[in-house]
Amino acid sequence: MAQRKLGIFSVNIRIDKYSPFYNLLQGIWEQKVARVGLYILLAIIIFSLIGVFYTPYNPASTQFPRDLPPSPQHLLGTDDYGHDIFSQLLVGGFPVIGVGLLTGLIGTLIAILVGVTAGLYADTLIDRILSGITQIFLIIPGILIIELIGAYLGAVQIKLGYLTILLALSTTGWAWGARVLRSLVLSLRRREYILSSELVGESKFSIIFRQIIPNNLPFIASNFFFTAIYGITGFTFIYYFGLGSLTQINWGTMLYWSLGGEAYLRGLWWWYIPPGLMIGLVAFSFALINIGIDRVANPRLRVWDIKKYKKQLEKIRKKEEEAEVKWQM
Amino acid sequence: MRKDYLIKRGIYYIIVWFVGITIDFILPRLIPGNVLGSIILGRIGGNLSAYGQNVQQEIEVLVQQLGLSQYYHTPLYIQYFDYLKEIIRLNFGPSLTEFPVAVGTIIAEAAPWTFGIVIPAVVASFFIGNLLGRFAALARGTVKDYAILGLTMFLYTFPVFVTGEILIEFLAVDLHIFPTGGQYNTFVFLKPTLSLPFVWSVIYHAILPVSTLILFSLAGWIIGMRNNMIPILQEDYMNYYRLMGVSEREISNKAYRLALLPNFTSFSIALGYSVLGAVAIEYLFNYAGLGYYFNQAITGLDYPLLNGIFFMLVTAMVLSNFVADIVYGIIDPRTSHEETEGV
Repeated sequence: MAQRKLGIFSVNIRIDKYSPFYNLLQGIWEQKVARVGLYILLAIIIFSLIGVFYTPYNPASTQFPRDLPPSPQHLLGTDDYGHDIFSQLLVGGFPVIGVGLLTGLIGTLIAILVGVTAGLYADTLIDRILSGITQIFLIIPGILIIELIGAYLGAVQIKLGYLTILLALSTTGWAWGARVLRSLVLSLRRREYILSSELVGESKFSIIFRQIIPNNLPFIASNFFFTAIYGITGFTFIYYFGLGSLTQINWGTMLYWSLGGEAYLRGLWWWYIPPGLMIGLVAFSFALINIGIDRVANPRLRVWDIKKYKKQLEKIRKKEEEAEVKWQM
Repeated sequence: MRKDYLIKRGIYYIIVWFVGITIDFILPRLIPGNVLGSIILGRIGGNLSAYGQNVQQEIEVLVQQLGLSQYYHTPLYIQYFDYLKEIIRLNFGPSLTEFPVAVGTIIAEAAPWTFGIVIPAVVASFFIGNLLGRFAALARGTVKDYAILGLTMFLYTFPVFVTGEILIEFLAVDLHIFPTGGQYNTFVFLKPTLSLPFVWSVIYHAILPVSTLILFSLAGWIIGMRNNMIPILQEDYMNYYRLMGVSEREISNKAYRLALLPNFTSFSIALGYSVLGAVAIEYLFNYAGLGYYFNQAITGLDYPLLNGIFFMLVTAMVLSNFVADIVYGIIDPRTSHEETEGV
């Protein structure tokens, strides 16, 4: 509250400035790292959006000469099967971004459900069971289990589709967030304001949604992007091992075919570097936003530009003085 | 460190290990038996109808060896006990892709190669990463800091096998500095010998995969070190040192040592996770470790081998986490007293 009076977070847009969500967005925007991440993500989304409406060639067509290096006709050349790589790159973005973001969303929801419940019912049987499950998911690597299941499904001629990949990744990627949230809830529970709302007779449900979640919003947001990075990594690993459905065009299948075609041994760098770079950039933008959120959550990690804040403080002081003068007049 | 803390954690990890092994036990039993049969057939000799009675008998023997014939006859819990008894001796039956070599033999041969590239990579990335993290923490807010952070975060999020592919294309294919893959020069050495040229050949072939792993795992150490060290540098006792006139260099040394402690506890966990990273890299470099066989098992539907490797990876993860807990307890005795903190 004091900070708001100081005016460090003051803005001119008139929205509910006191909602924790708005506060978080404001805080993220203040971090330069996160802003760069948001711009990169926006650029990639626009790039993929163009692909929905326009591609230079049909991305599935195989009529072009093979293994052409980049040229004005084919901006990123063609692959071993005669596809135009630039068209494929334009089309193949949304599955990756979508699986990443949705994995983050579902994984975070599960983490909230498990972590908050375990934290609220600490040291009871419910907590023991939930924490035990969390621990198991934490240690046994999720991507490995998915690969195992994918390999067994391969026996009955099933390749993992987007929905299956999404479900598999989000049900294995929640454990870290649940563990962090549980310990956060545990430390919050001892705070007086939670105790007092409990004494007043507020229900557990409302304590969760009105006290605990708003207070942990930065951690939840950070966990969202952390899980989204896991989703993208998992996505590429599933395609790397050839377990994903190969009929669709996305950056994962492009990597798979380039690996099978041994593009890296034949100098066809335009075949595997572009999809790899795009996947890397999506995850990179998430990671940058995540670093920004970490700094919001933990102010000690922030880099303070003292001159800038002194200037801001000076401005506020002037304004307050003016206001006082006006009031006195 | 309290003994009951250690015992409690030990029991926890044993349970986790059992769950992992049980997943390993259940999964292959979920695929229909006839599918499994046809896979086995495909692996050892193609179409059944093209063969006579003899082959069918051989298949029967094989199915018996794999422990598959009882799938629908013996109760599940007896199968489970048999399975537990067998895996302690690393007996997963014969591999299907390398029939009739036993899975245990393949794992015993492959595991040293995997750990041979993982351990140097983790040790090297621990030192390089911590030093870079220290550098970033001291230069926080400057261009240097952002350059280090950005570059390593990018390497971390870049698909690890694409990093490997780029290294192979430019350093091995174009510039001929390093070999494109393999564990040693198979043209010179037909099989491993204990000689200096052979050891050099092994090291020479390991450089590229190890560097790929280092590039991949650097980010964790850098961020960890930076995040540990920045708050310590702002601590009151650090300001006290400054007031006393201790040089900035010595102060950063002290802060570095303090920030290093928590990183030690992640060391063994990083070791476990790097084994997973190696799974992706070994296939690319044709490096016959666990990862190479893991990929071979997936593409060849070699279930016994897949089970064996999953068992090894889960065991590595559980062990590394347990070691991390022990180290944590030694370094920071407070942890063993916090009842509610540890899950």
